[in-house]
Amino acid sequence: MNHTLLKIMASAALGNVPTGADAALPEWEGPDSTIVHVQAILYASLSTTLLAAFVAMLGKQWLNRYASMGRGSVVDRGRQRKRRMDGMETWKFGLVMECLPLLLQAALLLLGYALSNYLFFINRVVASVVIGFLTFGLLFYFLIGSAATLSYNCPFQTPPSLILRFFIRFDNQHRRYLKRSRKWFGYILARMRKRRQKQRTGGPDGSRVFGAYDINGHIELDVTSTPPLFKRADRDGYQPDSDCIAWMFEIPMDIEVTGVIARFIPEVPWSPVTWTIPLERLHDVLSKCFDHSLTYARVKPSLRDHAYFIAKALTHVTMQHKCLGDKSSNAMVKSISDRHIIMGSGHYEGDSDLEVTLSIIDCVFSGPRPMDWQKFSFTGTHHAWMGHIILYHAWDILEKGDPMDNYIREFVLYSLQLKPPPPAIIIVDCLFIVGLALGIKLHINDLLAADKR
Amino acid sequence: MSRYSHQFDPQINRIYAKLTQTFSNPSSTTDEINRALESMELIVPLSDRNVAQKSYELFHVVIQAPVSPTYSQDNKWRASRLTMHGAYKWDQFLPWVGDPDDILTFLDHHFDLAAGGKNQDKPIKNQDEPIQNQDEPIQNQDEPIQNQDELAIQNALRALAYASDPVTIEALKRFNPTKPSFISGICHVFQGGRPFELRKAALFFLPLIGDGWFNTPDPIMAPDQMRSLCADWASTVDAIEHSPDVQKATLMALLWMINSPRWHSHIVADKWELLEYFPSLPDDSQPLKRCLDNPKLIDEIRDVRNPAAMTLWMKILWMKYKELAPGVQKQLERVTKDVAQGRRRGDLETYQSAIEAELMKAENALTQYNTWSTEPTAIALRTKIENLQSAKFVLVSLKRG
Repeated sequence: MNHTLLKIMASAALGNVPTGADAALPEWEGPDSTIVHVQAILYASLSTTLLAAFVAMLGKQWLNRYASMGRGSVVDRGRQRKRRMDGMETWKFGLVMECLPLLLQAALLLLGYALSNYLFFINRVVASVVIGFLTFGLLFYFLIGSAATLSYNCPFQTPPSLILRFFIRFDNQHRRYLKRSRKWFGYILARMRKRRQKQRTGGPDGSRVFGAYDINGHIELDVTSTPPLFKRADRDGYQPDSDCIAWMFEIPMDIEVTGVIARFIPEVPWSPVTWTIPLERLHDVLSKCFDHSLTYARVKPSLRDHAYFIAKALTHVTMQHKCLGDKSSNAMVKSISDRHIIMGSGHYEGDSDLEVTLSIIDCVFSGPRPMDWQKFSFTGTHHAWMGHIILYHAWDILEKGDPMDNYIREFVLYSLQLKPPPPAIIIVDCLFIVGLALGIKLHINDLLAADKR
Repeated sequence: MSRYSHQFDPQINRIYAKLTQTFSNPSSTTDEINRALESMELIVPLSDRNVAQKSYELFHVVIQAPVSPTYSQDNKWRASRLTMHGAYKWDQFLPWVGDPDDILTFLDHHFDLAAGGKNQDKPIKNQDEPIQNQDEPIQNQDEPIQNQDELAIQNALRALAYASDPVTIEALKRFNPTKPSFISGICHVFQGGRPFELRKAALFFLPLIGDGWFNTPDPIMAPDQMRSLCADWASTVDAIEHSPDVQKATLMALLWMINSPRWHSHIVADKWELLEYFPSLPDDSQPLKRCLDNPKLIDEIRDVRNPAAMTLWMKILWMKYKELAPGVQKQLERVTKDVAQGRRRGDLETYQSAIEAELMKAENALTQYNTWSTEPTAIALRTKIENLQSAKFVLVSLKRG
């Protein structure tokens, strides 16, 4: 064919008009266009299969990394695993992996189409058999896809059905996710806009000297009435702890397990996530630790440790609800207050930590009660924890304009007069209470959300 | 605690700035004043240098602030008591008293209250006192219960006795302590039932006002009261450990009493032996100078029932022989001759050995200095050695007859 074309072109260049057989265009001598079409689709199918194999190998690599554990304590490794797990959920690892079969399905579809097309021109009877099975397969896939989209309980879930569900009906989690993304996006835009504006306008020369201060005759301090605990602890490495605790409370547990989990609650920084810990359930579990056959409140001896940790956790979370909570939090605290039975008593044979924690719970739920701090001898850790909790209780009371509870006042006096003096963190908490009593607003930079780990 | 103080100093500064602002502002509301008082009750028990210093500064603000409808007289004294407690409750840090007038006013007022038996408000929680539940009565009967006024007096006396700078000591010399309420207040704090710290502070305070108290032209109290005070003072001296500072303070008070014709007869007999603390006194001690210049004193001391009194006093006189007035020197020589001829002839050996011991001490001290040193201490030591050698020479001549 090429030779013929060259001959025509050479004749035309010499001024000779091709005639007869020379003038006729050459005919296509290669495969039929249908074959080309079919071949193209078959190659597409093959490529898709290879791509699926490639992604499968990558997936194996990702899973290997997920399964490998670094060094460190059990807690550290658990935290690491939780972080990776969160990453997998955030980045939709499961969805990506589930897309692998989709690739294979697409390859199969392409293969079926190419085969049907090819056979249709060779033998329609044979082609109809293949087309029939292919149609049946597609119909089946469509039906189970529809069923899975319409019902979440349908066992035939596939990635397309999940994606469809996602677009058809957002649930709260997705909405929150989108909202958060939008918020971050808005934040980044605002930062960029601000920076650009700053570059445009510049600043007074003095701003470099005076730093963040206003140079117009007065100094503006970053004073706020918001307590330090409001400084949300969503830094890397802290959030997973509170997530884990909140997650574990979704599972039904007995007292022992709750006690073990509750042990970690005061250890994590103050975070809104801990609000999701069911307060009423904690209170109920704590009530179950008591021996109700006695005339006075007393924790069953075998459950003392658990009761202590649950009581601390209850106080911790309750204070968060009281200080930061909304109307529903207040209602929850009130409902517990209504049915709270006095727990503090002097029947713990020198276990001051437990006794005083129960007494604080009584003060929080049933109002101020006299407490003889002198008779207690706490451990240093417990004292420090208590100082923090009582500071927030004081903040809550004084912010509402109520007079300071006597037990708070006595705690401050007790702590400030101790010999040898308590750790500085306790004194700082007491001084903040004194400042609150005087009407000094808490300064956000003075007391960071302490990493109690 | 001070090693951690930098961690909470900003908050302490903020609290005291707010308190100063509240008390110095005449338009502060009743609520603000009450909140300030409540906060002060909480913070003053903290034993911290910054708290002590700031409380002392706030004390002056509080006491000088004008009384107003919102800042009543009662609030003023309550606030001053709290600041005084914050400043002077802690042994390890006492702010220097630069101006004693406000503290003396405060002390005078509380002596008045103590004399009248008025106890105005609830007690400050003392460091050594267990914190009691407010709903329960205080039940510790073994220790004397320290009321608000006594604690205030104790803190004021601690301030003046332990932390007076030279300016304050001079100011105290000019202070007239003979006001009846002040006299009865001092007598009151020395009484046996009073807390130990209060009596100890009074013991140190007494020498500071000794001139105005013991050296008056007219008697400031009845002889019975004097005897009673001397007995209380003596029991306080017995109750306390005799550290060098205590020795100095007690001997100074004793010398003031000895020099006063009205008082020395009331001195408890065995307290004359406090004269043996003579080496603890500085050379320029005011009561010692007065005693050494008093020509009648030798004869008066001879009449004391305790024979150790005369022996000790003679020793002191011989050690200061060269510094005595000529009349007193003559008297000393006369009495020494009498002793040499009497039954207590052996006392002369005691005087001599005291001089020799002091001489040896001075010579040892002088070895620390160059032979030609012109340092004031070295010069003073050389003079002292010369004086002691002269005294020894005279004493030995008298011994030989």
